[in-house]
Amino acid sequence: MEIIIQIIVTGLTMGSMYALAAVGLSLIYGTLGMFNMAHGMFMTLGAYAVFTMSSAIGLPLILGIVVAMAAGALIGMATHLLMVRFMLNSPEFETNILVATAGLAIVLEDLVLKTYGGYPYPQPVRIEGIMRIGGVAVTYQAMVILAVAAVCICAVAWLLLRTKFGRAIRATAINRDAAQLMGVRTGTVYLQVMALAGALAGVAGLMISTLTTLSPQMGGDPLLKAFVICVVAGLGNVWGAGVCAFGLALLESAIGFYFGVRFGFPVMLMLVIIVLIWRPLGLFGREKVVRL
Amino acid sequence: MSFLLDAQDIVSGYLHRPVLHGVTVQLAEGEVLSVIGPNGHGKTTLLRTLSGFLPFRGGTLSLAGKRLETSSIFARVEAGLVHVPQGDQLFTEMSVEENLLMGAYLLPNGPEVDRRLDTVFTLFPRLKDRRNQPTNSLSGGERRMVGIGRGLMADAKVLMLDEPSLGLAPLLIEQIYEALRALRAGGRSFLVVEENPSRVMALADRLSLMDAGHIVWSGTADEADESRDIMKTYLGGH
Amino acid sequence: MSMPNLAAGPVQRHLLVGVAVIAAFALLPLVLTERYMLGEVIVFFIWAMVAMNWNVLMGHAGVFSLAQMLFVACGAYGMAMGVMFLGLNVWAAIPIAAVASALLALVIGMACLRLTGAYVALLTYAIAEMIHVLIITDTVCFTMVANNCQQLFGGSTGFSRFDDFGFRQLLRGNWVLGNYYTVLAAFAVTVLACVIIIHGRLGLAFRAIRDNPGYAASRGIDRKKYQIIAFAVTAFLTGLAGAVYAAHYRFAGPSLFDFSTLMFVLSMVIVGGLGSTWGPLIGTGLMMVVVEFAKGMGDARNLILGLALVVFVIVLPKGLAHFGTVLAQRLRGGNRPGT
Repeated sequence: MEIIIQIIVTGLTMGSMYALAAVGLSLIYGTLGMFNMAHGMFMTLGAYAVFTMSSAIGLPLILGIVVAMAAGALIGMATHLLMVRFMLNSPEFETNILVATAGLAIVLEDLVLKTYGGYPYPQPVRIEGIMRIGGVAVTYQAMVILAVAAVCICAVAWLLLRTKFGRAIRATAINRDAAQLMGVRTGTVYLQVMALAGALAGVAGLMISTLTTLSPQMGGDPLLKAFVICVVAGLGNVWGAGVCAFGLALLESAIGFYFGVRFGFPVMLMLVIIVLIWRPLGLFGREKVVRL
Repeated sequence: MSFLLDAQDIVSGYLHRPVLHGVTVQLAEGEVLSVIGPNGHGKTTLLRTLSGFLPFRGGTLSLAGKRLETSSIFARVEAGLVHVPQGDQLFTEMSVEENLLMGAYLLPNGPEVDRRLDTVFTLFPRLKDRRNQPTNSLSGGERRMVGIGRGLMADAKVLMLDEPSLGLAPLLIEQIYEALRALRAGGRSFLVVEENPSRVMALADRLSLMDAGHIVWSGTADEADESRDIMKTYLGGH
Repeated sequence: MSMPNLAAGPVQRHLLVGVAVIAAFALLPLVLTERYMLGEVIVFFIWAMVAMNWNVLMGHAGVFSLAQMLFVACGAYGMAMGVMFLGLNVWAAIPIAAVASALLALVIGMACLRLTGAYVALLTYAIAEMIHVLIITDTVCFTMVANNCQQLFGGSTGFSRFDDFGFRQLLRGNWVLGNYYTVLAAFAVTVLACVIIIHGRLGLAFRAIRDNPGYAASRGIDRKKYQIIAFAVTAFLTGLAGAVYAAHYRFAGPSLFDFSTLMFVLSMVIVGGLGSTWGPLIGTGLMMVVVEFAKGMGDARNLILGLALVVFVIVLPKGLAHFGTVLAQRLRGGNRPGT
């Protein structure tokens, strides 16, 4: 029983972070049609931004979250304004943006390395302390992570479903030309999506760094997992990405406990392989109409 | 006489293929102008140029006196030039109501939007029953209604409709045109593009016949009636 | 695979170019005698082989595969394991390893049949990464080599110190030349094969399934069959590249699975021009020059590489090969309206 609780706690904690990363990634893919290979660096920059500010002035967790979001949003917007928007209309966009964001990630990682060095700083903005649930030690930080993720994702859901802003995003994602005919400035929508996804990534990065340490490469692994989650869910399906994030994290956690941590990721990948062979469009993906 | 929509000598087309060779389209307030002609001769290109998807290579465009030929798509919609595209182009996973709300995107949230929503539902009662269904679950006729409804939600000085009868059964076409007649009676200005003129001739005040990117004939509906020979030449016995 | 119609212009022209390129490289050692430089050209051959095949698979057949380094690894590991565990002769192990890659590709290709676009990318990536992780986390000792634990697939250290081409005994000081010409031979095979594929019937079939599978099907071009052919054929040649890589470096290790390497080679393909014929060569050459230049800048190495990628892809979205073609057209005929 203890093991089950432990598995669930670990799964939910990891799932929270994966969900924050995957939802942003999915939003970007769904709206701009873009694989953001720099998403991992968005996360990393969020974590480092909080670290820097808290070293300077000391930050309570709430402010730390705000700083992480702001940092993520800023880098997201900058990426759009300085790079993405020039590439949007070329027919080779899908492959080119992959290379471009990969290049951006390399540059950003190097800049972080040069600014902070490779030393694995711990993230000071966190909550200490443990509580016990059913005999299992659960850190307060884990609960914070879960709570933050839940709030953020619900907020995003509300934004997308119930506001005009969100409707415009969804409309642009479904049919850009038609959205323009409604008077939507799609360029602005893209900017807003990059900011929103960046903010989510920033928070994800902050949370991840509270569990491990800061390092310039810290975003690589979460990025991979976020991609896996997005595709398994069905590209562009934001809710599916959230759900699958938790599902896969719980699975990874369970496998880790029963068979060894070594098998966690490979089994997750095996699952991806099976899912994709069984449902070629992802679990929740839908067939796009293909015209001859 | 000053026209509400005044587009003169439009030259436009695709990368190395010019399609429109100096087309003039003029619409007075409260009028319905129909552009008819065989397919592939530039009618959709005309609307796409007017709404801003294709650039003006030559010619002018003004709406209520405001020059728009170099304006963005957004600016033209904001100015009141609303294009209801061919084949609906609905936001397929969004509901009927959400699609209609998108039509009113440029309006602030408030009672006006609700009022317009009611107007559309009154005009197309079937949509009211299906207001929360995703539009990809609707029939062809219902989708057409959503498309037109979306156009009506906006502050349109001129509504441009690209083949509202496309792909619909005759009964549905009649329903659509019934709605358009009601709107016209209410003072709306329309530009309607159709391949088959038979339906639209009862609705239109004036007609322009387009062939190979030129307007080859223009006149009132009555004059069109009398010039059946010209019609037959281009449209083959309609 | 049908014989190319040699009377047709494009195949002939490109084959001539290919032969010229190969001949130029064959003569290069007369001019370039430094061992280091020859070594760099060998590296170019290997990456160019991978890039050329990736271009055929992705640019022409439209399959967005991220498993190409897996096939390189299959060739490299296959060759190393064949020599070490099965006692095969190096020259025998190389083609066998290439065939192994093709067989692996057959399986992966079949798994990808129902997938499109980015989903293929993910599936191929997942398979490659899964195998990668399983290899590096393996701690079970399969055999002992000189008192060191050797895992079945080499673990995190890989395979090393196995037999290579054997030119040290033959040519002594000039062993690099032996390696050079061997790898050049593999490169030549790849170049000619890719040209023949791209400009022959197979290439037409590939582009048909890429551009309009529905129409292709109505003309009797079975998308599934050709997708598998594309996977298998390109994997064979990619495995060949991996095998000669292992034989040249006397090393086959998990660094082949690095994500950065994957991105690096992918950018060679894209910068060169996806869907072109000579793009991969240009792209590989250019990226290697950039890396060389960046190395000289010491600390700024990664910055330069990253910036170079971003700039190339924004400024030349269709790749260098296309730019070269456009330039040539302009120089030849002035302003002709394109199609």
